[in-house]
Amino acid sequence: MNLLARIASELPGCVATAAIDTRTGAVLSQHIESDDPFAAQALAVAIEAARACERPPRMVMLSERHIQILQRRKHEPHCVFVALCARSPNLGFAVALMSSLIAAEAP
Amino acid sequence: MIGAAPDVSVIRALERVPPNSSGALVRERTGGTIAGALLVERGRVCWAMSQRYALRLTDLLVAEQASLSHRELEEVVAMCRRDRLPLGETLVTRGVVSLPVLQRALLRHTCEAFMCLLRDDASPWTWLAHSGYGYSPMLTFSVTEVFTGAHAVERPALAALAQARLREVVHAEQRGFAVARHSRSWIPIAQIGCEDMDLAVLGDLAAQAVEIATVTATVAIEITLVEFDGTACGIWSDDDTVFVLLYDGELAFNRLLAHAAMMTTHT
Repeated sequence: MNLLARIASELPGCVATAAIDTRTGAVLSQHIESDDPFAAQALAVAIEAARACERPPRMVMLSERHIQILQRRKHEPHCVFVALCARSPNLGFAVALMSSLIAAEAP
Repeated sequence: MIGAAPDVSVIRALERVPPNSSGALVRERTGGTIAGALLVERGRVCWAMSQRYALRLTDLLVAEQASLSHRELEEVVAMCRRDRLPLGETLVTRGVVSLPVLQRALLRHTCEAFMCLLRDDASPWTWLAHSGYGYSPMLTFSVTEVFTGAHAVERPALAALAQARLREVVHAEQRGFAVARHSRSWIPIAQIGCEDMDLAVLGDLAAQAVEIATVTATVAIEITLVEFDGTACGIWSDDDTVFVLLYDGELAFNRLLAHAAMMTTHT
């Protein structure tokens, strides 16, 4: 199972995942779990946000019904993984799980 | 990366002031008369004066504390002149005003006079070193406090709203600031706990916060959490203001996440 699919299957309420190259803004790969109309729009904003600021290791965006987690790959900092999930009470768990899944993939 | 603002010249002048030194940044008019000065003691701003600024400290103290009278204050001022006593400390030790009231009035006077001096058609800033003026450190202000206060003078209503919102959100031992979204400068208009932050660092954070807030506003993101150099920042905006909440130390990002979740819980 590739990393995006694994993130999608393990993160509670995951709607979509994507890998972005922040140098070009290109979506390297994406995995859509549901037909939530918010997903495409949210991914577009995630790409902009990941490119806009000076390479923070991670970002989290909260909206009324969703949480977006952006996590940069340590050994490949131009590659940012994005997960869009339904908002749940345990936000910290989703952020920590995403971080550990990406870290576990490191060579 | 502080944006093009009328006060860039004084920021540059202050950057040239040797650390922890005392003296005055002075502006002169064409005829050689002094337009005004910003007095600095051990790297902190203690007073600003401008020929174009008419209000006195006593006017501002009366405005801050309605129970005070001009007459009562003038008596203390006269006594301090006669006995060569420091006015601020005397006002506090005699119980005429509280320290927070005095600090607010002093900061307002300094910021308003500073803004008048900035707008004056006078010479560039000149640094005159001095051995010190003898101001109590608790009655002096960081450069960041003065610039933030000066920007608040420019937009008083917006700054008051921003400060009130920060007071609601920023808890003890946390920091936060607010910047006007459409300002030409990234200097905050309100802050809590950021007094000792370097103005350039604050400006860079503010610039990035405005950029992020602009991008995320398109999909109704309520708050964005970002990590910059070990500092966790929570960024959100109202119509004209971008707010930044700062967390430092152990598990800063996790603590900020918990705070942000509470701020944005919809019941």
